[in-house]
Formats: sequence, structure tokens, C-alpha cells
Amino acid sequence: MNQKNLRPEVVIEIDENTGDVSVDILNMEGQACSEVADDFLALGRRKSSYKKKEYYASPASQAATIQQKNR
Amino acid sequence: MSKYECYETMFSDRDCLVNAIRAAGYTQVEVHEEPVHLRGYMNDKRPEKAEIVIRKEDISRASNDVGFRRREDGTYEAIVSEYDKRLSRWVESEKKIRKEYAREAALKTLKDKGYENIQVEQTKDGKYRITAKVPPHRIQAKKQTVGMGVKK
Repeated sequence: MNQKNLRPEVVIEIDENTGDVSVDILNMEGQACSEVADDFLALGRRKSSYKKKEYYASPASQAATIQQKNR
Repeated sequence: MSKYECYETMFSDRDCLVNAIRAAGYTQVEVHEEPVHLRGYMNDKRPEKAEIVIRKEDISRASNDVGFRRREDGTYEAIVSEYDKRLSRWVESEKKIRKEYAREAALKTLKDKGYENIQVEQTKDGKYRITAKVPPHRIQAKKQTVGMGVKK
């Protein structure tokens, strides 16, 4: 089946130890894919899997990790 | 007396955080509109304050309260005593809270943005995998953009 005919979907994976989030956007590309990716800005790393190329990724430090602060 | 330490976190949604804390096993978590004092292991009132509090009795007999205080930037900082920070139970709880918060935040985002057929599964290694279909109007927006490109 042509990949372009598949209904676009998102796959979110959450690491069991760190709570780090990765978001895959399947069967989608271009501006619409970019807009969908923006929905998950606050969650962590995102990539498009339309051609299995990394769309873009934010630094790992932006994932939901707890950082120690000296006080 | 065990000194309190503060940690920056990426938690910013109160409801997601409270649900995550409950999912980690602390069902009696307290939520206050105004920050309240934390209590030490001898039930002494400590100067540290927080809006979200896990009382020491829920952690261990010798524990201190754990708090989450809202910062000006909207995120919460965790307030944990040096003693509890080393407790294996708290270390495990912290991991679980992070993981459950991410799950709650992801589900909230998907529901708020109108995603469909949302499904959550947990893999054997404990990882969450959430799938959802992109709402039709978001796909139509893509087709319209492509059409305009073709005309040019």
C-alpha cells in the first residue's frame, strides 16, 4: 500500500527510567507535519518517520528530567 | 534534622503532576492553592513551603514531607530532604513520577488537540507507547497547502 494513503498518526514513547519522551510522526511530511510536531514541543524529542529521517530534535536536557540546583 | 534541597523540574501542569504522584502510589497527596509548610520527621514545622505535598507518613517512618512548589516561570521545583533523597523508595518514586507525568501530559495534549483513536500500551520493559491518529482537519490543511503549490 502506498505510504501516502495511510492515515497519519503519532507514536509517543516514554522511557521507563527517565520519563524522556520521543515522538514519531508517521505518514506525514511538509508543513502539516511541522505543525503536528509543534503540538508536542513541551514533551521532548520529536522526529518524522515519513522517510525515517530525523525531522528535528530538541536537546535531551529538554526532556522531563529533574536537575539538581545548588541552594 | 535533615536539610531540604530543591530541584528544578520540567513539571508545569498541576493536574498532570498530581495524577502522576497518585499513580506512583501516593494517593493522599495534598493540593493547596497557597503554599503550606512542610513538616520534618519529628513533625516539626519547617520553613520550606509547597502547594503540592506528600506527607512523610506516606513515604517512610523516618521521612520528611516532600513538596512541589510552583515557581514564577510556571514550573514546579521539588523540595526533598537529604535523607529522603537517598531512600531507595523515593528514588524509585521519582522515576515513576517522571514517567507518569510524561504519560499524563502526552494524553492531555492528544485530547486537547483532538487526536483520535488514542491507545496506550506498556511494553514488557515498562516503557509506555501511545499511538493516536492525526485529526482529519490537520491532514486537510496539508492537502490544501500541496494544492496551492501545484498551481504555482
